[in-house]
Amino acid sequence: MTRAAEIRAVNCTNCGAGLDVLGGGRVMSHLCPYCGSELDAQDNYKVLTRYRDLIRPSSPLSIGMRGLVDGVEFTVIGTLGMKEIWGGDSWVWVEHQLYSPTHGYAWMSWEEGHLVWTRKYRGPIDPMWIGTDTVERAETRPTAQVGGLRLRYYETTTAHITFAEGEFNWRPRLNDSSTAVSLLADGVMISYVESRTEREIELTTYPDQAATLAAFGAEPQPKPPRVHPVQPMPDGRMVRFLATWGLIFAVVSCLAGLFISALVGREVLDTGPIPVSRLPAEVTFDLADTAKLTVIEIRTDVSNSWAWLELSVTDPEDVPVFEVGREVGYYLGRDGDGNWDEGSQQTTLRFHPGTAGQYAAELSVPEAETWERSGAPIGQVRMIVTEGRSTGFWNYVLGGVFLVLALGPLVRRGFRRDQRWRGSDWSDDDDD
Amino acid sequence: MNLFRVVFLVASLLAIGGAGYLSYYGVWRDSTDLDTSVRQGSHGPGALGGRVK
Repeated sequence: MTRAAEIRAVNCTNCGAGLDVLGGGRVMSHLCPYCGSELDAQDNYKVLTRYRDLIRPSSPLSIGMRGLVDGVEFTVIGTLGMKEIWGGDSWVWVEHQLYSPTHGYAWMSWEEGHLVWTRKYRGPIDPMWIGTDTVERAETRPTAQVGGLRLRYYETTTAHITFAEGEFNWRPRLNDSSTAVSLLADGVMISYVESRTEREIELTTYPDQAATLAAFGAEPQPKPPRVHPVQPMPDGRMVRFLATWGLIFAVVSCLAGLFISALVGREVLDTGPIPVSRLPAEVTFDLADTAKLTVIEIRTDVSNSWAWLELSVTDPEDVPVFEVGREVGYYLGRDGDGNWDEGSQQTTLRFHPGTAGQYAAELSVPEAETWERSGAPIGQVRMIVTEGRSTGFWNYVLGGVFLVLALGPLVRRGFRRDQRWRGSDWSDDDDD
Repeated sequence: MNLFRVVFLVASLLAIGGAGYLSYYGVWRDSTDLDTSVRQGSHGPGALGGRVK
């Protein structure tokens, strides 16, 4: 049975208010927004029941708004307030019934600051039905196959109606409840919905929020604080691009760093062992490369002991280049965990010589001490100077930056995935 | 290939080249604890004393 489609408006048969008829010929009931009467749209709008003192829930959409969804014009014809109570918590949302003369009826819901778009699903799906008993019995998270898409169980929701106004192609009753078993994939939710009168499979997707609000002439809404489970993940192609090329460049940069590090330069001095008794000692070396680093390496034989080394370097004009003091200490032993050692017997310093020519270095050991009785005091030092040295340091740093660029989007994507599944009522224990 | 990707690839290659230059010449890799202040004064306390007196 269908109602005459040409009717554009009626008067509420209870309060006389003018009511636009927007919902096409399959509308079953029309709830007057003024007096709360439910009118039978298929039987001369006779009053079926009347709801009083209902509080209209907040939503950016309202009855009569028209807008394009997926290229099809729909009109908002009805509004339902929904509430779920579970485990002492409650969730509320708004469902708007939409109508298109060419595409029939659908739903646009307003959930925690998100618009979600729901239609009845008539396509191939396996299994054909998942009920609450199936979920209760399942030892692993239930899945469904829709085309090539695999969806995993997300939650079971039992919600009841707290508010209704406008037109519906069914008869909503206050406190009527329905139970939905929902399964989720990226950007898609399938719900097996069972109500008092029918079973339906519904497909929910996440429309472009700003564009949809604008299409319906609704006010722009602030960005919601939380991710909606149906909200698609960030652009996967960009994430893959950054991950792929970030990793490639990280490897290339580190390999370049290794190559540059392997350029050992030219050794210009090796003093060989110098007994500490002969210190302070002055040595000279010739430097020709002023563009790259000169490295002075001082090796000692400290063992369970430390020594304070002082080195001063002067340039070919006998002008001091720098002075530096370094402690070298090396300790080793054995404990319950086995052998251990810490510290180092050598120290290295780097500088850029200002001019080419003969440099002089004076080395002294003004202080030295042993550690416990087992310590061997410093006996000799050896100084090795090389010029034209490079370091892969900056390439390693850049490799780290590329690694962050590569992993950052992946981590963010994983975080979004966690946020999406956080609302699932399937506990990990059940996965075992 | 969109503009962002082109810019990313070109900038990355330039960055690797730039890092290679800095690494090769050891730019900003001098030991930081070297006391070079002795270069900035005169030729030591003796000369300083000579000027003052």
